[in-house]
Amino acid sequence: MNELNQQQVVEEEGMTLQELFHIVWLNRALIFLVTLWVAVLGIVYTYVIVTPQYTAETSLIVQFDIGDTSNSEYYALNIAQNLIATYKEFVVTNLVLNSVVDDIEALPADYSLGALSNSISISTTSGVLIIWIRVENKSPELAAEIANTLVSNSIAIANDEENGYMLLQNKLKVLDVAEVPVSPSSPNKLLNIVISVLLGGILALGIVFVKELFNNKFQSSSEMEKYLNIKVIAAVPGTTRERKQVE
Amino acid sequence: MIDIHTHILPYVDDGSPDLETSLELIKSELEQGVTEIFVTPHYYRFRGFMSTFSDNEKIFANLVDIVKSAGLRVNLYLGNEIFYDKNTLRMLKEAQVATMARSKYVLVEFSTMYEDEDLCEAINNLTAKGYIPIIAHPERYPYINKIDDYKIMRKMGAKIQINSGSLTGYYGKSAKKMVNKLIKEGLVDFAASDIHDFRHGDFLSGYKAVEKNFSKEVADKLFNNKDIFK
Amino acid sequence: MEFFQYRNVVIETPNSPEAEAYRKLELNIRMSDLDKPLHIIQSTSATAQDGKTTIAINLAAVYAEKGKKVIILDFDLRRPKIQRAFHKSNDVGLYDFVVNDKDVHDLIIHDESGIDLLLTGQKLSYPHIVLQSNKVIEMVHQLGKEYDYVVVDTPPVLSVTDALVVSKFVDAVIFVVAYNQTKKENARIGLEQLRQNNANVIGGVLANIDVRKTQGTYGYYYYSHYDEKE
Repeated sequence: MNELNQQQVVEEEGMTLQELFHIVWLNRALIFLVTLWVAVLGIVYTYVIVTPQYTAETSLIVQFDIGDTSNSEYYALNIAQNLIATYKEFVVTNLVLNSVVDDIEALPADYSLGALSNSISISTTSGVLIIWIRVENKSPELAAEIANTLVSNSIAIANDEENGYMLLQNKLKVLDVAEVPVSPSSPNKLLNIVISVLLGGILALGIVFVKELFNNKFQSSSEMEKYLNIKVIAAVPGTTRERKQVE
Repeated sequence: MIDIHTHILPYVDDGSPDLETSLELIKSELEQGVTEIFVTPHYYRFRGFMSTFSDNEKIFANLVDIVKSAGLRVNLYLGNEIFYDKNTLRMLKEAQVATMARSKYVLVEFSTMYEDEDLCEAINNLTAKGYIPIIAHPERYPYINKIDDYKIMRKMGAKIQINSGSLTGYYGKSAKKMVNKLIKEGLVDFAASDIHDFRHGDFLSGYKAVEKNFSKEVADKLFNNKDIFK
Repeated sequence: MEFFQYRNVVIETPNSPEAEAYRKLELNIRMSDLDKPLHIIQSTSATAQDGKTTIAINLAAVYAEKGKKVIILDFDLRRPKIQRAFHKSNDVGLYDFVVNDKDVHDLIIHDESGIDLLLTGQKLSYPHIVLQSNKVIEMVHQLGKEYDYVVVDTPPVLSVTDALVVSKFVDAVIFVVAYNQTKKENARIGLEQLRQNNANVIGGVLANIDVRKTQGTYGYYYYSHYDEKE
C-alpha cells in the first residue's frame, strides 16, 4: 500500500505549463460562456439598473482688497485661506442648505439635508483662490440648479446687510456658472464592462481549475502511465456511442 | 386486407378447437374484408403447444379443402407464432417450426410478463441466419415501453406487428396509447388480429380506428402490407 | 434493451489513421517480449464499456490482415458480444464444448474476414468455474498451438472474477482504459487485482481517443468522433 501512496504523491506534484494551457483550451467553451454571462450581467447592471448621475460644476473666486490689510502678501494669502476654509464649511451649513431647498421647487420641503450635503463636493487647491463646487444629482437640470442656487444663496446670505457675516461679506464672486451637464458622470460604463469581463474570466478559470482538481478520469496516456505505473502501448479510437445507439 | 396473425388452425393451440369453428372464424374474417389469411398456430413449449410443422401441414391441407368446398374466396397461408427460446433457431433449420408461408419472415413472440430472453439477442440471432423476425404484439410486453426500444428493434432488422385489439382498447389504455404513438412515429409494419375465437373480432374496427386517427393510406399500409409476400 | 454496434475499423477502413492505431498496438505487443513470443492475448479493463471488445476485434483483424491464423475466444460468458460484432447468431459455442462434449473445432465459426470465432453459445451456469476447468484450459492451449494468435475477450475485472481466472492461462494481458470515462480509482484497483494475481500485464491501452487530433503517444487527446455515417 505504501508504494501506491508514494505513487499518488508523485502524481499530484507538478502540472506542467503545457498541461495548464491544455486544460484551458479544453474548457474554452465553458470559459467563454461564463465570461459572457458575467459580462452580460455587468452590462445589464450598468445600463439598466444603475441610475446615472450627473455632475454640475460651478466655481467662485475669492477677492478682496489687498489694501484692506496693511501687511504683506503672505498675510493676505493667509486670510484668503481662512476665508476659503470658512466658506467650505459655511456652504454646507443647514442655514444655507435649507435656503436652497426652499428656493428650488423640485426639491420637496422635507428633502434630506444630509443627502443634499452628500451630493455636494467642494474642492480647492492651495495657493489658488478659486473654489470649485460640484453637485451630483440624477437629474442634470437639478444638479445645475442646485449648484447655482447653492452658490448664489450662500453669497447672498453672507452678503446680507443686516445678518451677514463679515468675514465672507463681499468677498466672494461667482466665476463659472454651472451648466446643465450633458452626459452622466457615473457610472463609468466602459470601466464597468471591462471589470465584468475580467471578473467573468477569473470566475471561469476558477471553475475550470476546481473542476480539474476533482477530475477523476484519465485525460492522457502519460497521466495513465504515471497513475497506474503501466506502460501505455497504444492509444486507439473506440466506437464511443456503442450502446443504445438509435438514429 | 391481409391478416398475418391468426389462430384459426384447429386442434393445435388455444385458438380454434375444431374445423367448424375455424370455418366460422374464416367467414367472419371475410365479412370484415380480409382475403388473405396467415394461419399462425402457437409453438409455445411452456404452454404445451408443440405441434410440429409436418403435423400442422396436414391439418392445414384439410382446412384449405374445406374452405374451398365451402366456396369461400379467401387465400390461406401457413406459418407459426413461435415463442422464442434457445431451440428456435435449430427448429427453424430442421423445419420443425415454420416461417411465414415458407418466406424469410418469422413471427416470434416473447413473454408478456417478464424479460427472460434478451429480445435484441433474439433479433440478432435470427437476422444473422437470414431470417426477418416479426415481433408479435410488442405493445403487450410491459418491459418495452420506450419508443427508442422500438427504433432499436427495427434498426436491427425486425418488423413490428401490433394487434388490432390494441387499437380498440381491448388490451387496455396503455397498449392503445403505445400503438397510436408507434403508428405516428412510423414504427409499425403490420397490424393483425391475433384472432383466437369470437371474443374480439376487431380487425375491421382496428382498421377503421387507424383510418380515422391517421389516414386511409396509413391504415392500408398496416392492414394490407404486401411485403409479407416478398 | 441492450443494443450495441461494433466498428471494426481495420476491416472497414483499413487505410484510416484509426486502423493504423491498432497496427501500432499489434507492433508494441510484439515488441514487448521478443524472447518469448506472445500468442494468447487477453483484453480486459476495470469497468464495463471501456473498449476491450472493440480492441479485441480490431487486434484480431490486424493479425488476419497480416495473413496470420487468428481466433477470438468470447470468454465474456455473462454478456457475450462477439456475435454482434461479426453479426453471427450465438447458437453454438463454448456451452456445447463444455456441456455436450463437442469437439471445439466443430464449434468454431469461420468469418469471411479470415478471423475464426468461438462464441459462447447458450448461457452457462457457473462461468468462473467453467473458465478454471482443466478442460477449458487445455482447449485454449491447444488452440494456441493451432493458431498463430488467440485473442481472448473477457468481462471487466471489477464486475466478476472471470477476467482474473483467465489471466492465469494466457500469455499476455492488455489493460484497457477509456479516455475521460474510466474512473482513475477503478482503473487502479482493477490493475492491482490483475497484478496480485500474477497476470502478465504487458501494457495499457487508452481507448476512445481521436487519433486525428493527437501528436504522438504522449500527446493530448480528444474524443473520437467515429460516426457511422463515415
